This record gives sequence, structure tokens and C-alpha cells, in this order.
Amino acid sequence: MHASNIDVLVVTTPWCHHCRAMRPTLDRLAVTYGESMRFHHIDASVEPDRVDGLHVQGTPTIILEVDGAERARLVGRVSDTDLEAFLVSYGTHRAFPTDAVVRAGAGVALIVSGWMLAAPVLAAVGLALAAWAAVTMWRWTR
Amino acid sequence: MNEGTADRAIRVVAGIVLLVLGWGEIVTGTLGTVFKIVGFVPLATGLVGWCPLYAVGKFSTRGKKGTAAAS
Repeated sequence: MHASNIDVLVVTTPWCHHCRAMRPTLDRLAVTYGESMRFHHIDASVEPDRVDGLHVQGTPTIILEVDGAERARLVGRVSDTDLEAFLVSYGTHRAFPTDAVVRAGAGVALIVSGWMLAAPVLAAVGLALAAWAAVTMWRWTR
Repeated sequence: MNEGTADRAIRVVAGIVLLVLGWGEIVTGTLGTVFKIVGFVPLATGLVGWCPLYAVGKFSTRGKKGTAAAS
């Protein structure tokens, strides 16, 4: 599933050290994901009314909107990896579902354990996790 | 999500171990029963990546700076 109207609002202030530190990464991500989301840089010192309307309590704040509605926000400085994961997972919906892999692994472990120990509850929980992982992977491939 | 990767991995593994010990009758009696029930907690919170106790205490193991909140 690919959302067609994604806006990333980046609220910063000129004196914010963390904002400046994250700017190169944001610029790189804007190029990488520019076809699927629009980046808007908002200077809180220039547009205080707009920032108040967004209920921003600190900078940097990154707000992700889908079809005009806020989906998620990130407050404070985060690592480059976490920032990209945030945009990908909440924005493009195309992030590789690593959670599904973990669930599948846990499911398999429980199924095998349940079978070896003759514990049907373990096997049942494992099957449920494996099924959940399978559904997630199927949805991701659509 | 308020759990870091290592936190989640430890929870999932711990949950599986507890469940195996309990439901596999490796640990029996009251302790085994406790394992059977309690084991689901770290497994579930590890898979979901969110801990209600962390949320109450406004604590996170995701990183020292920054929090992501779903709106």
C-alpha cells in the first residue's frame, strides 16, 4: 500500500543545535524519498502561529502527515537510522517488515518446542505468530 | 514503541524460554504455572515493541534522544 499524499513537516529553530545536526540527514532523505513524500521546513522563529497550531513543544519536531492528517511525530534528535526508519515505516508503508521476521522466528521456535515437548499450547502460540508474520509479509508484498 | 532492539530481543527470548520451561513441564509446580502465565508478557511486549510499564514511567530504551509517537 503506498500513500499518495505524504507531507513531512520539519519544525526547527536557527539556534537549535540538534536541528542543524539533523539537517544533512533530512536533506538526504528528502532526495531519497522525494518522489513519495514532500518535505516542508518550518522555522518556528519565523512562523510561531503556525507552529502553535501544530502543538509543537520543542525542536526539532518532525510531523508526518498523510492526506493532511497527522500520522506520527518525532520529537528531539534521533539517530540517522531511526529517522529514516520513522519516515519509511510511517510514511511509505514499504519498510521491510523486520518485525514479521522476528515473529516468524519466534513462531518457529515455539512450534518446534511444542512439538518436541508435546506441549500443544506452545505449538498453537507458535502457529499464531507464524500466521501473523505470514499475513504481514503478504500485505507488504501487495 | 518504547523498546530498543536489544530490549525487544531479550524479551522475546526470555518469553520463549519461560513458556518452554512452563508448558514443557520442565519446571513444574507453582513456579511452572507462573512461567506458563508470565512467559506471555515479555513475549508479547517484545514482539509489539511497547511496554505499558515503560509508558507509565515515561521511560524508553529506544535511544537517549528523541521519541516517536503515533498520532
